Amino acid sequence: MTEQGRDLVVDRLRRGLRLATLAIAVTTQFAFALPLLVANQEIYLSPAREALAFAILTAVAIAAGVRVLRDRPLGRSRWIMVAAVFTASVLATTGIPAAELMSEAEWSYGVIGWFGLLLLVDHSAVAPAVFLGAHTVVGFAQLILVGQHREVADLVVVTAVVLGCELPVLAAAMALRRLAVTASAAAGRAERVRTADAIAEHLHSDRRSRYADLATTTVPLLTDLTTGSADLGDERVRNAYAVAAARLRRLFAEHDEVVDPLLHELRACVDLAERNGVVVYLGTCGDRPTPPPAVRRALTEPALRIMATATSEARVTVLGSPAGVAVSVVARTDEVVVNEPEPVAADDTGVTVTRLVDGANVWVEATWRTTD
Amino acid sequence: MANNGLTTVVVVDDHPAIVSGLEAWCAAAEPPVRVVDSGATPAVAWTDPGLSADVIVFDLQLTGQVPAYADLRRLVDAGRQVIVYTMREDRDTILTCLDLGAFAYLTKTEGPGHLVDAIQAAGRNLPCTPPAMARAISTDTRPDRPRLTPREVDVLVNWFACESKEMVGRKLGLSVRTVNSYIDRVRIRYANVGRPASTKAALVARAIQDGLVRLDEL
Repeated sequence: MTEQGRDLVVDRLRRGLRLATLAIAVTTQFAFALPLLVANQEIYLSPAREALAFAILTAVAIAAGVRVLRDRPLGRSRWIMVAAVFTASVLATTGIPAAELMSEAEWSYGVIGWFGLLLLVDHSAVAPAVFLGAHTVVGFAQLILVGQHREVADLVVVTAVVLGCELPVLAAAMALRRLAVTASAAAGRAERVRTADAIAEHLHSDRRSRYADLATTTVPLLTDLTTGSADLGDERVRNAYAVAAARLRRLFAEHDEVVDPLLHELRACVDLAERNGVVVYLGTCGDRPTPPPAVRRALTEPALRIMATATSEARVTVLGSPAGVAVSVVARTDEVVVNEPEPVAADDTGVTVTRLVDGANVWVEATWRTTD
Repeated sequence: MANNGLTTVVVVDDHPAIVSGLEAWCAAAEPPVRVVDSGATPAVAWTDPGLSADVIVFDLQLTGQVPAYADLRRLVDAGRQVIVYTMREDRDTILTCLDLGAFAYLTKTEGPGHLVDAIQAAGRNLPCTPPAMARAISTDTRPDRPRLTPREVDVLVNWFACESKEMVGRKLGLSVRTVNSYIDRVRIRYANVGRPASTKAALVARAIQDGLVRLDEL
């Protein structure tokens, strides 16, 4: 998202800049250079060469213009076009008598620079600067080579005027580039803040839903404990606390990243009974699919409730088959609790619970079938 | 092998607490079981008084990390009834021991009832399938395994889950006798496959004699 945001900002600014340079280059060529070219035909050594130079620039303007308007990169053809522009410059400045180089018949000097910007402004800051520098140096060298030393001062003035218009565009391009980087960084920061917000929101709702579960089960027990209204001498009350404690342990276990979540959560359910001195055998039999979290909770719930009442020993087994999973618990429990009916599991999980009492032993099995 | 209902046992285990516990369990057994000798190496089963003991209770995991399959094989080849009694619970170890000809396999998490039952069954050549063994058989996937019916698998898995044949019977709507016959017939079929051993042959022969299985079923 940050990457995309940055690209979007950079693209928009770059496109604006390219459109601007295209407009200036074409306007300069046709509104400024073309009238001069037409008006001074008789002065040129070779009007054909001048026309060719103008034609080359026109071709470059069209080729580059099409891509700028379509918002396509110039690619490799960029350097061919740069060479073409230099060629046009050479043709234009050699097709005119040396004495006329500083007259208004020399139409190309003010145009070439804009074409350089048009072709290079989106490439980097250095390339257009080198282009403008090279063009200026060549201009001065040519003037001196053809023996027009007197005109150097004039060229300085003209160069100052031309570069005075071109360099601000280059400076603007560099400023925009920096701006784009800053803007994209800001966009990235904003994006990160939004993501963090979304995560926090999600976590919060998660905690709220968990709290909603606990509010009806654990919180009343804690309230009773703090107000002293809980009768801890009553076996049933103590069982209720044991079940709530085991549920909390299972809740913590549900958020662990483990290979076998069902066994891990089951271990959390029996942990408390083990600490209270119940000898627990926890075994598995066969391969099995991993049920979704809601099903795992329904599968471990009967075990959790029985374990809270186990007195001496318990055998907890996870029985797997390709068709489903069963969690079986055989525990020696108190007579009182054995007669309590098992609460019916939530129907939407498809978990069925069977229960068998044999003396002090109770055997509870929760089964989930994948094919249901 | 058993004289006057008394079964004699030699214990091969390197933990003195295990030996003492076993002696106490055997002393309380009915019909009586007596531990005649014990030691940390199989040598105790090859010399008197261990040599004449009816049953050997054998810890597979003696000093080394490697299961003592070679010692087990030698004892079985000498016609001894060996009950493997060890910490290991994995299916492949159990199935390997059964294939070598061990009479039964018990894990040390299984209580005194199962071990004493197994010793007494071994003394009389009657099939015995403790829960861990039932689990290994019910989850056997080897290509040359005896084929079990879904009902047999069901009985074995439930037997592993609850360790009480009465409760398995009540849950599946069978009599304890039927539950026993399902489990024993599977055990006999396992005794009838793989590496031949005189103890396995004796188990099968006794089962045919008792009418537990018919020859054509094997």
